[in-house]
Amino acid sequence: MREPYLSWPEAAWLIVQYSVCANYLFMPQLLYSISGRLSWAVPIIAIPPAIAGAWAVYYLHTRFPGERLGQFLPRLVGRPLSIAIAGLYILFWIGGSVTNVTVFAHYLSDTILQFTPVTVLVATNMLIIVLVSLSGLKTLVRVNDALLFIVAPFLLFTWLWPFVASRLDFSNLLPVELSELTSDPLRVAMAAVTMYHGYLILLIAGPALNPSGLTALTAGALGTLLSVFVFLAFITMPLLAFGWPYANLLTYPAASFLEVVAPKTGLFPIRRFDFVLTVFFRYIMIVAAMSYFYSAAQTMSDLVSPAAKRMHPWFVVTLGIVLVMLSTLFKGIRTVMEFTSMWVILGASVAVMAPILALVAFLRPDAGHGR
Amino acid sequence: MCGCDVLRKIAALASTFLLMTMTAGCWDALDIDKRAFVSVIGLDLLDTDSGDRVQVSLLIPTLGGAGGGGAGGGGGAGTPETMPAKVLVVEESGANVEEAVENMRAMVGGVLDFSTVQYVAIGKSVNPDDLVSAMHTLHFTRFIPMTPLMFATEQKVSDLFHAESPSGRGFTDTLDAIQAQSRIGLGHVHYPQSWEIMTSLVNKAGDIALTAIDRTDKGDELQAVGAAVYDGTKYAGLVGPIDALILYCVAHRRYPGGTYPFAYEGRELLMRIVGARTSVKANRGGDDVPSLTVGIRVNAALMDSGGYRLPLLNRKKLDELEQVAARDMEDRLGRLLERLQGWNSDAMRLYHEVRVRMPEMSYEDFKEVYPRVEVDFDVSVLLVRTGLLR
Repeated sequence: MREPYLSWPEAAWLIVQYSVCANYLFMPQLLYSISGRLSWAVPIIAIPPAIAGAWAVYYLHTRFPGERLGQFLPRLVGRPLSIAIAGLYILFWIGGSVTNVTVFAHYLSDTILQFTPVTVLVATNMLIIVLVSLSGLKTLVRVNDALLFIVAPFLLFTWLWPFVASRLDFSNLLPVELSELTSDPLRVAMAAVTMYHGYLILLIAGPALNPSGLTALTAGALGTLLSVFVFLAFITMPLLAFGWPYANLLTYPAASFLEVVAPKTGLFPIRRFDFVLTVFFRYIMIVAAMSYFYSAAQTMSDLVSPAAKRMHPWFVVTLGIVLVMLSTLFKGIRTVMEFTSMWVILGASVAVMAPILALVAFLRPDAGHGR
Repeated sequence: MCGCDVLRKIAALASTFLLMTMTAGCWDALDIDKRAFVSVIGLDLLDTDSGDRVQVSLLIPTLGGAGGGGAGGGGGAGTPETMPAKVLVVEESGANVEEAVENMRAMVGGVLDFSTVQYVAIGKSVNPDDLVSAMHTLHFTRFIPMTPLMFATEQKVSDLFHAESPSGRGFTDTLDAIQAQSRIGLGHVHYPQSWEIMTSLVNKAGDIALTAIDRTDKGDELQAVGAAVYDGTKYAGLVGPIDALILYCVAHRRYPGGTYPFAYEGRELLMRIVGARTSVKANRGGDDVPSLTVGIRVNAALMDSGGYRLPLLNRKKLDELEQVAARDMEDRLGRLLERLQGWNSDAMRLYHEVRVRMPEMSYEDFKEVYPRVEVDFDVSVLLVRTGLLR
C-alpha cells in the first residue's frame, strides 16, 4: 500500500505547472502562426476536450485506483498493445522534458547567459531533474508545493500590473475574423487538444492521491480550469501589448511582454525585472520537465518491472544523460520550434488516447482483475 | 533508519533549491572591465561611392567618468565637477547594422555589451527601410532590451554624441534632464520605447513622432527642438515645441502634459497641463473617406495670471479663460492637422480608430485619402488657479 501524500489542491497546482511549464515560451508563437490574431480564442475552444480528458483519466483512476499507467495498461489492452501505447506516452513525455529544458536553455542563452553553451544550461537543469527523480515523486510534489509561495504572487503581479501600467490596448484584438481559426483547422484542433494535457500526470501520480477517487476529478478539473486562465493571459496579453502582426514576429512573445510591461528597476546589473521573473519561471519549467521526465522514466520502469518499488537509480541517470545528448540535436531555437510542432501532434495523440483507454476500460469490466 | 530517511529528504530538498538557484550557468565569465557597456546607439545613413550604408555610432561610458561608473545605468544624483563624464564614441558603417557592429568589435577592447542600452538616436537621413531592418536586427539578434528610449535628430548622430556638457553632465543624464524639465516646462519631450516604435511601424496603426534633439551652444549643448514626424518610416518634417505637446496629447491619448501658452485680451497667459485625455471616434464619411471626432479633456492650472486680479471665490474669469484656451487649442490642432496632412503623416494616430471602425480600409488605403479626412476637434479645459487657495 502506497503512502497517500498528494491532496487535491496539491495535485491541481501540479497540473497547472505541468500544463504551463515552458509552453508559455513557445505556445503563443505556435498559436499565432496557426490561428493569427484570433489565437486568444484557442484556449477557450480547448476547454471541452480538456474536461473530457480529465474525466477519462479520473475514470481510469477509479478503475485502477492503486496503479500507474505502466502497471494497468498490459491488463487493459494486452502486452503488445500496451508497449505501443505506453511508448506513445513515453515519447510525448520525453519530448516534453527535452523541449522544456531546451527551450528554456535557449531563452537564457539568448538573454541573460549569452556566453554559456546551451548544452551546459541543459545539463545543469537536467542534473536537478535527475536528482529530484532519484528522490521520488514525493520530493517532486513537495518542491512543487514550495513553489506556490514563490511563483504564484509573481504570476499574479505580472498579469495585474499591465492593467495598472496602461500598456494594454484591447483594440489590438480587433477585427475578429473567424476565417483565421478555420484556415488550418487540423492544426488548431491539435493545438487545442494538446494544450491542457496536465491532467495526464494523474496517470502516474494517481496512486498517491489522498483520498483517491473523486479527488482525481476535482484536481483534474480545477487544475485544467486554472490553466485556462494562465494560457489566456500568456497568449492574449502579448497581443494586447504588441498588436498584430508585431506579436507574431517575436521569438518569445510572452517573455517579451514581461519585459516591456515590467516596472523599471535601478538594480544594476539586474536592470530588467523580467530577468527576475525568468528565474521564477525557470522553477516552473523545471517542475514540469521533472514531471515529464519522471512520468516517462516511471512508465518505462513499470513496463519492464511492474512490481518494483522504485526506479533503478542508474536507469534514471542514464535517461538523463540520453536526454542531454538528444538536446544537442536541436541547432538553435528554430529547430526546437519545429520539433514542438511535432510534439503537439504527439500531445494530441496521447490526449485522445486517454478517452479511448477509458472507453476500453468501460467496455471491459473484467480488465481490472488479475493483478 | 527513519531519521536517516528524513535527513536524506531534507538534504535532497535543500540541494534541489540550491542547485535551482545557483546553477544558472557561468561560462567564459568576463570581468566588468573587459566589457564595453553601450548606453546609446545612433543610426545614420552614409552616402558612399558604393551606395548607401548604415552608419552605427555607439556611445560607451568609460571608466573614470561618472557615466562609466554607472555604465549607462541611468545616472545618479549628479556629477562631481572634478570628475567629468568620459565617453567613447565608436563609429562604423556597413551594409547593415550587423556588419557595422562586427566591424566595430575589433575597435573595442573586450566585449560590446548591449544589455545596458538606454537610448537609440535616429538621424534625419536614415533610409526608411534601413530603420525598420536595423530595429529588427537590434531587437532580435543583439540581445538589446526592447525598452531603450528613442529620439530623432536633424543632425548627424555621431556629431550629437560628441556634445560635451560644460557642467560635466553625461549625455544620457542630459537627455533624462531634458525630459524631466520638459514636464514642468513645455512638456513636448517624450521618448517612446523602441518596442512602441516598432509596434507602430510594423502594425501600421498610425505614424510615429519622435522628439528631435539637436546640438546647441547653450546649456548642456543639447536641446529639444520639437517633434520629428514621419510618413511611415520616412522623415516628413519637424513641428515646434507647442505643436509637439498637443500632438503627443492626441497621439498618446493619455499624456501627462506640459506648459501651454495662449493669448487673451492682448495678454500672454500660461497654463500647465497636468493631464490630458483624448478620445478619438471614427465614422464612415462620404466617398469612403472616414470622418473623425477628437475629444480632448485637459486638466490644467493657470500659471501666470497675466496681471489679472482673479477673485478667489468667483470663477467667472477662469470660465472665460477655459473657453479661450480650449478654442486656442482647437485652432492650433486644426492648423497642425493641415500640416500633417500636407506631409501625409498620421502622427496623430487617427488610423488606430479607423482600422477598427472600417476594417476593410488598409493603412495604405487610409494614407491615400488621409489628406481629405475631416477631423472635428473638441477640446474642453478644466482650469484652476495656482496658489494656496484654488
